[in-house]
Amino acid sequence: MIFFNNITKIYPPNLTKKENVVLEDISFKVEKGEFVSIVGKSGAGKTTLFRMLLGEEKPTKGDIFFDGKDVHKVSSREGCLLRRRMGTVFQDYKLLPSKTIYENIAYAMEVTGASDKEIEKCVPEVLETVGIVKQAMHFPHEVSGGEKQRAAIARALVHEPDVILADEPTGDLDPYHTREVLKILLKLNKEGTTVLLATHDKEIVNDLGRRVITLKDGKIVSDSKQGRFIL
Amino acid sequence: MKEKIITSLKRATKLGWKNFHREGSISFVAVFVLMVAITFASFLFLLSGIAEAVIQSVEQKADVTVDFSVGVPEEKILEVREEIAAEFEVNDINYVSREESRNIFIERFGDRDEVMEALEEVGNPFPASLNIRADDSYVYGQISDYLEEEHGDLIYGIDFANREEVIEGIFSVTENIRRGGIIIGVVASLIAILLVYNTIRLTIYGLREEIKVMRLVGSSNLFIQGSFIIQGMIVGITAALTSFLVLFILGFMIPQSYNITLEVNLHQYFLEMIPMVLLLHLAIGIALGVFSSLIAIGKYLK
Repeated sequence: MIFFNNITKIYPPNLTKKENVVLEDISFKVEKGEFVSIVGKSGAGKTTLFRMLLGEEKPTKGDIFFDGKDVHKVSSREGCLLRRRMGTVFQDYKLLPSKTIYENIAYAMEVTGASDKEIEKCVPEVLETVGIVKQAMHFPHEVSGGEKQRAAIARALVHEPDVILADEPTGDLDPYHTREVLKILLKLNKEGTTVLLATHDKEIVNDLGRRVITLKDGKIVSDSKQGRFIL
Repeated sequence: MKEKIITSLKRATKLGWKNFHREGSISFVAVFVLMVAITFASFLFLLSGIAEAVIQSVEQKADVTVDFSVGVPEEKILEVREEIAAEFEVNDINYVSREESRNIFIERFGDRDEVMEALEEVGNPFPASLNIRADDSYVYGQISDYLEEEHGDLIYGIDFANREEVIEGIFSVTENIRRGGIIIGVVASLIAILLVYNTIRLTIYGLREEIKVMRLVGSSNLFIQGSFIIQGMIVGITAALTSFLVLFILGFMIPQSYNITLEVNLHQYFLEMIPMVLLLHLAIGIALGVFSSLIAIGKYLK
């Protein structure tokens, strides 16, 4: 389903930094329905991998395929359609501050051209799934970090994406909310959604007992089916 | 397909409107700057109109009078008038008979007994004349030369030679004012456009993270552009109407009797220009709002 083929990402030198090799010759595949944790210290290139998969950044070398399509060689229109098949969750939530939680979630459906009826049916359902029905009409700055992250997950899953990309989704959360978020991700995976989770949290990785890809100094140092945190 | 387009349009409109009123302070700044630019453009437009009217009124004061010798029959003078009208680009040629000239003189000096007594003595010393008005000063020279060549025997005098410098001076000044007005207008408009563009660019720069999120959830560029274009349009319309209101109030504060020249009444002029000013405001407001948004957002959609 997803194939990173010999990916190298080098940021060119600038006034303050030398040339920065973030990823070097990275190759791996993710099959449909897998739950894969991508592990590495901060700056290991986890977020860069996600950004390249979303088409936000281009690799210096190599190709990235999503369902057989090179995400950097598709048209702008096809790029949008591919992104709609991926739900994204970030550590900093990336909710639209001028919209309520409900509107943030509905927006992800609006852009796909869903009808008002569908939106009115699906949004309350996902709010229920992630447990933030009461916060629906609040703006992001009016709710807690855990609630924001749930809203971000709700937005990511409302249009039933094939893949969820979760980049340090528990980074800002306390242990209770961390468990809640993981439960939701596992539930979605059980229902068939592929999940890619980028994290540097040892406990999460060891508790999950799923496939783990470990990145160190821009290279894959381990890729095991039922992996553990080894850094 | 058609239904999807209508839904997208409806959603982009709703989104543009919501962004406009929720980002109150940003919208306020954008509306204010645009309003200043539109008001400024309107002042230029109104001023150019007033200046043109004043210029025309001054130019009309420049004329040439051809006096015919006593004894030249009226028919002959009228023939000459027809010739001039046919040969040259003139605005107006008025025939003033000897009797009319005398009456004008009496009207002006009738209250001065010694002048009236002298006039009684000499009878009617006034010549019949043609009073000529043209758009360009060089026409007067041509008419003067033509009359001296073709009808020198009929003519007692033409007051062009002694007024030539004054007439050319008037036309030269008015022409320079027109040119200066165009240059000032163009420079001022460019400044206003840059000011508005930069304000909207800064507004959109502040929303760049939001645009990234929109892209992340799969918004098409067209959908994102659509909402910002509509937001720009709302900013433009609000600024246009506010600016119109300001001018409207100012216009009614002008005293009704205030005349810049005998021919130009500022209050009347303003009332006549209201529909044009409203249209101009809306056109400038919408165009500036939409184009600035379109250009400013393009950078974030590559």
